[in-house]
Amino acid sequence: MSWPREGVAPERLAAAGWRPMPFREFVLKLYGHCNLACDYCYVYQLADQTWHDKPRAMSEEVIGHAIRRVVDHVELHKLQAIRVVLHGGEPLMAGVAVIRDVCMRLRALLPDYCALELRLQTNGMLLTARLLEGLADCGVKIGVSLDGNADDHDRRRRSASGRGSHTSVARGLALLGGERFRSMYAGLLCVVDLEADAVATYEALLEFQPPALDFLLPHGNWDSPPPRRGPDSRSAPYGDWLIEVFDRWYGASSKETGVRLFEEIINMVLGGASRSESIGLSPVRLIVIDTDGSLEQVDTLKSTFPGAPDTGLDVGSHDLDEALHHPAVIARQLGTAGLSDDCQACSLRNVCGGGYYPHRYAEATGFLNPSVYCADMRRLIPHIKSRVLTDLADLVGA
Amino acid sequence: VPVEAVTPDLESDIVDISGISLSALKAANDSVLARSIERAVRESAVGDDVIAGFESSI
Repeated sequence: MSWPREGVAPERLAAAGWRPMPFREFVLKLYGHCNLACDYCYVYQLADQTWHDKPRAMSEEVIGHAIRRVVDHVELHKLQAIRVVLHGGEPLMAGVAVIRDVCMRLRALLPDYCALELRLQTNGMLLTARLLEGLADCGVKIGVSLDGNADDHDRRRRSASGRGSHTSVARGLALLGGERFRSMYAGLLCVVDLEADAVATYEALLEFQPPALDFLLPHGNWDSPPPRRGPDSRSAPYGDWLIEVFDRWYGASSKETGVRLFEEIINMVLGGASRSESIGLSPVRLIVIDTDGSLEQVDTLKSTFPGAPDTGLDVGSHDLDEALHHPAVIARQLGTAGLSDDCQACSLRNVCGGGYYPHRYAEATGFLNPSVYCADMRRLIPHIKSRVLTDLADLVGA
Repeated sequence: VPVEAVTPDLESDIVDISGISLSALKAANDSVLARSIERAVRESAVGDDVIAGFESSI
C-alpha cells in the first residue's frame, strides 16, 4: 500500500473532528527552466521529468488566477500573515517587470490585516545592480544558492555547457550583501556535499556575510539513496559532516549567522517548535503553484517518482481549499499520526519529526517510513542536544 | 529582543521559563545559546501560529 494516497481517508478524519489548517505559504513557480544544470537538481535531474511538458514561464493568465486564489484563501480564512516564495527553475529569468508586477499586485489586493512576507530564491547568476534596483521597492527578500568555495560549488553547480557558476554568483552576492541592497538579502542555501570539507564550506559561505543560511541534504530515498548513504545504520556520514559544521558554528564566541537546521533543532530542544519542514512536527501549510497553474505539494517530491507532487488540481479551476483535502496534504499536518511505527516509537521523534518527507519514500510503502537519513539524524540530534543541555546546565547554575 | 534591551517583565519571563538569570544570560554574551534562549522565550511569550516553512528557500 502506498501511503498516504492509500491509507489517509479525509472523510474519516473529518468525521472524527479533524480539520485541515489553511495554507500560509505559497510557492509560485514563475519560471520553470533554469540557466544552470546542477547535477543534483530535483526539478531536472531526478525521478520526475514533467518540466519538459510544462510552460517555461507562468503566463499572465495563470499569474492572475494564482494571485486571485491566494487572496481568496487569505480572505476566507482571515489569515493574519502569509509568505509568498517566488521560485523556479530560476525565477529571475521571468524578468524584473513580471516579478515587480506579482509583488505589487499581491500587496495591492491582500487585505490590510494580512502581513505579506515575500521571498525569492535564485541561483544568483542574474543578480545585477540594475535588477536589484528594479526590485528594491517590492519588499522582496532574496535567498541565493551557494555550495561553498569555488571548487566545491563548481563541481555541482554548472551551466549546461559545463562551465562553473561561482564567479557569477559571487559577483551577485557582493552586490546583494553590500550596503545598498543588504536589506534585500535573506541568506544562503547550501547542499551538503561529502566531498567538500565541512568547516571550509561553512566558512566559505560566511565570507558573503549571510543573515542566515541553511544546509540541505541531497535528495534521495530508500529506493534511490543519496551518495554514500547505504543501508548501514552504524554509518552516519551526513550526521558527522553536519556535526563538524555545528561545532564550528556553535562554538563561535559571538553568533556569526543563523543556521536554520541547527537553530530549529536547538529551539525544539529548548521546548519550542520548528519553523522548517525538514525537521520537527510542525504542520506543513504550503502549496506550490507550477508554471502551468497546477497545484502541487512540495516540489522536492519530484525526487521520488514521476508525478509525486501532483494533486490533480489547478488554479484556473479549483480554489486552494480543495487542495487542503488531498490525502498527501493532510498527511503532512497530522503530526505524530503521520509517522511510521518506527518513528512513533523513537525517542527523537518530536525533534526529528521523521525527517524530511521526500526522504522517507520507498516504492513499496510510500512515505510511511523513517527518513533515509535516519542514522544521520540519530547522530546529529543527540549531539546538539547534549551540547546545548550541558551549556544550559552551566548557565542555570551560574 | 537583545539581552541589553530586556524589560523587567520579560526578565521575569526569562527566569520563569528558562530558570536562567538575566545576569547569566548576559554573561553568555552574544553566543548561539544566548540567542537561542531569547528566541525560545520570545516565541513562548508570543505563542503565534508556528508553521513548517518551505525548505527550498531561505
